[in-house]
Amino acid sequence: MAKSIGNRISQFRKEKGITQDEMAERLGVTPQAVSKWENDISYPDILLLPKIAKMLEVTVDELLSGEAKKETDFLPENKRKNIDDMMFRIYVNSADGDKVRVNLPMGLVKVGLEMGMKMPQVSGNETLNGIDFEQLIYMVESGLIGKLVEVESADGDTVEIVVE
Amino acid sequence: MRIKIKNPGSKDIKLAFPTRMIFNGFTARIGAASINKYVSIDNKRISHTDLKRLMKEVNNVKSRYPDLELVNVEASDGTSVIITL
Repeated sequence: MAKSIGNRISQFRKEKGITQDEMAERLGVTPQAVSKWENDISYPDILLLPKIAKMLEVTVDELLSGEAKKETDFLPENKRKNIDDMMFRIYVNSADGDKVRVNLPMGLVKVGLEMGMKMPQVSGNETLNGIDFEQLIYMVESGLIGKLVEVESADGDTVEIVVE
Repeated sequence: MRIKIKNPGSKDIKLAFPTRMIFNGFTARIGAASINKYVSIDNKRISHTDLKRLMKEVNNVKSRYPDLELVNVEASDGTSVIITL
């Protein structure tokens, strides 16, 4: 089931806790227009895409394709977000075409790891077994964001971990 | 929390649970006891206070990110499972 741009705008908007009215006001459009985008009745003007992406703190690529920011960045201390405001995303693509997407707020991941929970138990993929998640959290706390892990197993499964 | 299961050739299943009714101190106690009885996690025991902390965090996440899509699984045969907070 491929997600549309409208689904993604709706999802990112809700994740940011922004209402349709607020979004419309900030973009200079009507709330009905935002509702139409989210219900795939119409599409936002191409010139509005950078503004929408900036407001939702995603890239235009992510808005259009659903693929999260692929680059890895190191943020200086004054530009870092609070770790509890960050999202931990796991993308698993198996060789036989199955796709698993897991979106977890970092606060939840931290509590889970402190309890001794392992990520393969969450994502159901053994490719993640060798990854030290506590080290990943440490890297994120030190200012690293974006794609932190990319693993391709011998049988063709790929796993990516992206922190935003 | 909502669980949506789509299976080509059969009816979609949609389940909705009140999140706070599932994730609270009482269910944490029952959950911890059941996990320790039936699930072996590297010989570790989960205390109800740990589980309660996790559930409290889930409730915090629910208020910060309403309708957050936690899990989206799409199988190659067209089956999909979406769990939304």
